[in-house]
Amino acid sequence: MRVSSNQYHLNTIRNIQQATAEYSKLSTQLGTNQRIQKPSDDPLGTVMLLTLNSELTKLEQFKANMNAVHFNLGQQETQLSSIINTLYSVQEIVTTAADGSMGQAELEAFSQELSVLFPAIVDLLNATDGNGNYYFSGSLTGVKPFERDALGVYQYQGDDRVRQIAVSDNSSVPGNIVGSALDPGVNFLNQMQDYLDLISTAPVAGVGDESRAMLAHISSFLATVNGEVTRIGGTLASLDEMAMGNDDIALFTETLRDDIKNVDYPTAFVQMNQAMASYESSLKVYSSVSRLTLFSYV
Amino acid sequence: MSMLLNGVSGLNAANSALNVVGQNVANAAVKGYSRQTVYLETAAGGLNGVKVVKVDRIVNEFLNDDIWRTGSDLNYYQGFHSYLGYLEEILGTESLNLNDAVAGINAAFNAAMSAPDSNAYRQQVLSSSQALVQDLSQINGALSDQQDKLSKELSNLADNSTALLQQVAELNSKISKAQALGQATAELADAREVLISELAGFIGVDILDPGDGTLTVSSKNGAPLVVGSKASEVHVSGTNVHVSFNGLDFPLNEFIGGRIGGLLNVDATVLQPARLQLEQIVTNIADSVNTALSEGFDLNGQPGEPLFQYNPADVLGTIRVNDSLQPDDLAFIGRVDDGFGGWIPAGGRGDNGNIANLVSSLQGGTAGYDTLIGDLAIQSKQVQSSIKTAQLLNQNAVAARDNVSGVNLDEEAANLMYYQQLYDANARVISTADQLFKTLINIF
Repeated sequence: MRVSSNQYHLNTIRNIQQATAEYSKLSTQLGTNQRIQKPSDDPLGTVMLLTLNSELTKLEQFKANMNAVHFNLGQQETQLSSIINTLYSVQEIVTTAADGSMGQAELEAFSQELSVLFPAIVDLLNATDGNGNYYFSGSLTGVKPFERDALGVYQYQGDDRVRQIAVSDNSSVPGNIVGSALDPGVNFLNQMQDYLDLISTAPVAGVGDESRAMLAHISSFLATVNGEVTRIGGTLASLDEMAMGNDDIALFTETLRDDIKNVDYPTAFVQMNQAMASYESSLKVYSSVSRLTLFSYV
Repeated sequence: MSMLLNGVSGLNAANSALNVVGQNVANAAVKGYSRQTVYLETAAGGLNGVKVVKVDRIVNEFLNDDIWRTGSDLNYYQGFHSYLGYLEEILGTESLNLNDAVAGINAAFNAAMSAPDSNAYRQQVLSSSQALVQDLSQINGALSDQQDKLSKELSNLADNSTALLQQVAELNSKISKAQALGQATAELADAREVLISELAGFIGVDILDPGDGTLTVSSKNGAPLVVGSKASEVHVSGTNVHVSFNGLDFPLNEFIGGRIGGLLNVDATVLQPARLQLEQIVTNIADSVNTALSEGFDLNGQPGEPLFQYNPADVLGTIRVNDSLQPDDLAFIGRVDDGFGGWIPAGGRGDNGNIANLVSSLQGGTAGYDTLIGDLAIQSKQVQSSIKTAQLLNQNAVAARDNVSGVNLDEEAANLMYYQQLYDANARVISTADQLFKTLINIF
């Protein structure tokens, strides 16, 4: 076979270029730790990456949602715990007042103490978050949930809409406690107010019967509030469990993604050495063969 | 006397051959140069020495056809890939990933679930929607740039093709004249082959040799490009290419091969469909978010206004976030039947009933995007491997031609020595004849 001299040069140059291109591709891979530089390097891998990334974004979003629920419910739990603590003090006083032997002076002192404690409870029920939104008024966050009307009767002004917050593809958890669940019919506040009104007059006959009745109301309110606190605790516990599950899935997905996305260093390194070796030998062969020409002997 | 004349004819022949060697060595690196050889013949009559018949190039026309065909294929795929590859990289760029942009809006909706009346979260929905729109306008810009670039390149290629056709036609007429006059045509024919190789890179060509020294060139779809000394002109308007020959118009479609064929095809089968698919995806997302918003109520108790606005005639170019939409106007509040066939808000400012609806309106919205990227990637990979194949075939075709027509310097060196010897030998014949003559003269 004849081989033209020009063709031999062109072939050698092409070999050198190919080796350089391969070398440069591999060194970019090693430098960036990205196996896929453009989608066509691995079409299937690219589409899988897109899907896996969406999956991870979604998991992150659910995690953020869980954190938000955690924070909000935590805040509400704090308010409710304070209500419970205050109620214990109220309960103590009313229990003492239930002793019919209390004189007028004692009743006045109780009245004084209760007139500080009760508004504190009302304030806690009307608590707001950092933006001035009421915690316990359902979806009417701009409306103070518990207020006395013109007749002096406490009314619940909020609604019973609970915000559902998605924490996974198929499940959501309540993000707020509504006032109508804490004090159904606003019975407790009005009973307490009536009791307060009564004790402030310090009746000579004492407040034994009324106090015993009030104690029953207090413990039923306590039970309701405790119930809500327990529900919050339950929600938070289940969130923690789901978060752990999500973390496991996220970790697995990330590993899968990195397997597709990242460079397999040993393989790439060996390949790069091979490319370098073939590059080097192209150069050597060219430089020694190109020295050979019959013209040297003419 | 004939011995002296024979020697002279041999000297002449050796001289011509040495000249040809010189020409070959000088042109060894010229692209498309065909090595030449001297054709010697015993002169007619008894012992009349040698005669130089002609100096001509060594070629095989079929090998040239292979080069043109494979060169045309190679340029077709390269042209195709230069636009496909760009599109694939643009859409595959992480920062322009539509999935991420939509996930951003989704995150903003989700974040608003726990505090739907918070201005900050509502603002976040607007900003993340703005980010999506910005991504889309960047993609639109890149796509439009590519289509502009493509039509500019097409008209460039058309101008170049027209010039090439003109030159081929001129060479046709020169060669046929030279051939008629018995003059050398080797350089002219080499030049014409180089021009046709270049032309085949632009448009796939069919070549016919009518035998009068000219070549008839036509496109793969049968449009006449050069006939004798007449050339046609290639015209482009937008992505519409046609040739006019003698006042007659012939269209060039995407099946004509060459770079022009590659560009026409990538426009018809990749750029335009990709734009349509993107518009479809964007329309779906915008419409389903807008519909979901219309199913809720805003903080002012009004039914939801659309978040995205666009002109259906140019979705990518016109999509934007509704300017008149304030954070309070986002309809996060759910709705209930008012008992009279109408809808009323389901709750107050803190109601998030419609957000779940909005979140699910985004679900699956970008599925088509994954498919689009996957399709582009697979197509690009196929075209890249077609380029490799075409490159190999083209290299083989060029190698096959060079094996026959290329200059081998060692061979020329051998020829140089051989014809030098031939020259020496003939010179010796002449000097011997001279000696014989002198011997004869000296007798007297």
